[in-house]
Amino acid sequence: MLTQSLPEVAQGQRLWDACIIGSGPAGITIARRLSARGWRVLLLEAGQAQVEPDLQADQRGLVMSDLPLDPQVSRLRCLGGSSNHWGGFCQALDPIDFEPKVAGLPTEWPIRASDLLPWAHEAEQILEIGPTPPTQAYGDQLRIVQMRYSPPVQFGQKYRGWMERDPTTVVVLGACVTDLHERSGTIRSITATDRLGRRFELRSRQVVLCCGGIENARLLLWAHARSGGRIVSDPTTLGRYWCEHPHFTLGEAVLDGEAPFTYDAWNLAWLMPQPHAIRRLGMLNIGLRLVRRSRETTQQIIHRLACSAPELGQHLMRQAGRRVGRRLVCGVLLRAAWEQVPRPWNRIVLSHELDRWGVPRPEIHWRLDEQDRHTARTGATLLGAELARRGQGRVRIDDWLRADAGWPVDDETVGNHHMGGTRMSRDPHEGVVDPNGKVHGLSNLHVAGSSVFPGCGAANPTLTIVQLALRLADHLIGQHT
Amino acid sequence: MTPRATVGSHAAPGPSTSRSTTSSHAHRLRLRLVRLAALLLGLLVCVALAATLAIRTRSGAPGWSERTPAREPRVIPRADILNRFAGAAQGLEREDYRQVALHLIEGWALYRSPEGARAHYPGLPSDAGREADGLEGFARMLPLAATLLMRGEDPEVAAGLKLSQALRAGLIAGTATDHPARWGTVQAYSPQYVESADIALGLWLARPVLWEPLSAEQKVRVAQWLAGTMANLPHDGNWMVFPLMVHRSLRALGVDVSRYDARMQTHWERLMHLHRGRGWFHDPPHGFDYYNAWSIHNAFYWLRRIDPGFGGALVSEIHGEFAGFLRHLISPQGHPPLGRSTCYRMALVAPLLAALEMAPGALPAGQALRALDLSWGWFIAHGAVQAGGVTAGLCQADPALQARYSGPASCLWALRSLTIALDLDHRMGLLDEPRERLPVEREAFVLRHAATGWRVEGNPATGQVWIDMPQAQQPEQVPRLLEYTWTDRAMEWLTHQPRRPDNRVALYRRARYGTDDDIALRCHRATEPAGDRLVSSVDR
Repeated sequence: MLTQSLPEVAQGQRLWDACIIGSGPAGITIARRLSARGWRVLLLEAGQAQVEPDLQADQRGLVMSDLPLDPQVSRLRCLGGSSNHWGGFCQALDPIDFEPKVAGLPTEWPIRASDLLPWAHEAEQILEIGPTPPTQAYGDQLRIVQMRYSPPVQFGQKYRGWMERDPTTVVVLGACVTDLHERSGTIRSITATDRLGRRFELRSRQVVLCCGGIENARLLLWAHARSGGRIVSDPTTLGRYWCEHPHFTLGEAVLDGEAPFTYDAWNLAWLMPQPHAIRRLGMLNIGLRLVRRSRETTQQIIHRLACSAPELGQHLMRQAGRRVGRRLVCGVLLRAAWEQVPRPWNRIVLSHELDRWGVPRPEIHWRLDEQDRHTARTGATLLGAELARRGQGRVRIDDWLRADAGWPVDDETVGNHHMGGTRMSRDPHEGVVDPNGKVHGLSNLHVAGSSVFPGCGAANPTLTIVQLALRLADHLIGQHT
Repeated sequence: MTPRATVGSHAAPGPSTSRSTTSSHAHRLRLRLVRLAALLLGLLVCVALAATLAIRTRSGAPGWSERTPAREPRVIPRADILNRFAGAAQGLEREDYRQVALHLIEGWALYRSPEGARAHYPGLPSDAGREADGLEGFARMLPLAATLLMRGEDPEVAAGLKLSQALRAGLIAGTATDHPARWGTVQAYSPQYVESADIALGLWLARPVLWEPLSAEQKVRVAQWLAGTMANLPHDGNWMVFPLMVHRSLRALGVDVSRYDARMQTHWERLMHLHRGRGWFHDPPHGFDYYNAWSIHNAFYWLRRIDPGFGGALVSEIHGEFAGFLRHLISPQGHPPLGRSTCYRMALVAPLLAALEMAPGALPAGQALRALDLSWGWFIAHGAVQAGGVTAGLCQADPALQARYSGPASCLWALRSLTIALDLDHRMGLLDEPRERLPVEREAFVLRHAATGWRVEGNPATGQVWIDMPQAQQPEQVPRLLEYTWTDRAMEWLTHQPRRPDNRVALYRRARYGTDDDIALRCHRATEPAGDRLVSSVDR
């Protein structure tokens, strides 16, 4: 059932089997899975069926960063959440993303890639993508990978029919959760506020937060503060280790016709470092994107290369003169999105500004640092070295990256992938949720979504979010059978 | 032949006329070409002049042409200061430091702007412009002035105007939103961002005479102006102490700054992430330099003064370790100059003094005072204090060592050791303590410092100290210090912007720095004749 009437749902103090907060990819995936097993599921969405400006304004937050990052733009408060405007890029995290990479950098997960494999096929079906394509080594240090593209699936639209028809699931729109109430290590009830500001207590055996990479931490921080510190057993890491995938143009390149890259429908070719290169070079994972350029732009790239390496430039110009006509020399923009190192000071805190329901807006402290520069520079250098070694082209790394200049603020800068803040850990002192997504120290509060990522790899997160959601749902089912 | 001759003679006028006509044409052509060339040249000159004017009016540093002539304090003349500090090796006294402080306050008064919000010192401007340079002139003198005020000194800085009144007037004008002399809002990475820290510190230090007399409205305006520092981002590195200083000062003054508590914690954590051990912080992208001393550890002292719990035992521990090592770098001939902002030179010893309170036992008080005496004595004898201010160089003013972001008042940060010394003296009678010889005056030593990778060597026979930097990329080559040339001067004249040699390689990437290297020896070019003479007279 899909309804806007929170008072109706709250009537009678019904005890739900599961209350899921947030209707994005994680929330809907878990709700469907549980209801398929006969669970009575309450799915709460703070927004409406479509984006409404006044509700969307509640996504506003304060940002302390030297790069553009706008939480109001990147997140959507409506049925289906941010899947309503995602690009559909799907990529599984690499096995190395779950393992230790560089000493001293806390990127390791308490689970391994193999722990998610059982849910890979189903997640691919939900996102309407094919199976993992094979990778191809490009020298010792790099590999050519392929991106998979979801149509993109918009969860609110795709599953709206299911929501309307499913007999055991009630989806409430305009129901904003503003508090969690704990007693004896269990969440006894939650407070949801409707559009008119009326507050209702709802009870459920299991509660799952699926509000996104900022709101999960925000709600927990708020509930923790309101409860006098009773929600999270050790709040040291709550809100912390928040990450994004930095997105920047690192340079440009000219490629010989022999370069073995194939460009997909987005005119992109993808490369990533080999696991041993990541460990050896002390970098984190990075997705290098070669963006194919027009013939005119290729000529410009060659001219710019000629400025920094005159002899090479002349050679390329001669070659281009002969071969551009047959499109055998290709200019590409070298772009990248990489794994940001999780730092405790990159975090969500509660600001002093309140939203319409009196809940503090989030304040995001987020900056890149020298490790990010190292990862980006090393990734670009690996590609340049391999191209040069094979005689298949040349890379010109942008000045800001070569010199230690500031980050270019006019670039894309972020991928709107909000990760961390309620990170997964075995030890309650090192994270907020356990390897199954349950909040340490509480019996029935779980967190799903990218906020549990302890390390963020370089892959777009949605596929992993759906896999983790399926895994959590099955874990909940397993607990009660 | 005749006919030919005749013909020739008759025919002669023809070619002759033709030649004459040709010659006349050629002459006219030449004239035309000359005129054309002159016209083109004229046009070129006009275009060049227009371009020069355009460059100078549009792209220059604001207020570039407005220079302040140098003046000398008269109540306490510089000769007196030179005389007093010439005997530094024999030990200085409280009165010597008091006199130099008053001399510098007198200098500040000479350059104070009419409304008091700025002080325009003589010297080469920075790329931030005259207004920002003037703000530095106010802010960087403020902590010293505030310390003097708390010691009960409130000299007259103009007819009928006490120092405290002048400072209050400057604070009120600078933070007013509609005053023509206002400082402008504090933005991320702005000059105001840096200066706000000293202004906040000065306010806290002399709160009975600077903060408390302000009206409620004035307090709100001052607090709002300072809050800009907490609301905006610093660079990574030593900049992170600026918002902390503002935050703790305002909180201690009773202003509610709790909305910034989380941000300050974030800055603190990021700063500690740059800590590489034993009190040394990496200052990206430069590496290790003396900003550790004159910015970070100097701030630790004041933060601890304002908020006694600041940083806990960790800060005490690393401060003590830092000071314990730093004393080895101080010699009777200054210290091995390296890194940016060499003109803050006298402030290098500030952490040694600070350690006496923050990390008791890290070094004897007598050594800290000996370092203070030698540092101030050496640099004053070599031209550090002139025209009522601090010169922009290692010794005399030296554009080769003046970064483009440094203005004529930037080097007042050098006063930080004097400010701490007077503060400690006021509370603990520090300056009476007997002096003790520094490590380099006692015995030869070689230290290996794990945190920085530096190897430090001292020779008591010569008083020289050297730092070997094993991580230097080109140990066999000594990157040369680039000079400020006539080309730089001409370009500055043309563009109205500072053009100083980029000496980062020479200041950061050498394999060895010492008290006798070519950078340090620039001081010897600049020995004050009066100082030398006065040394003799004192000896006599």
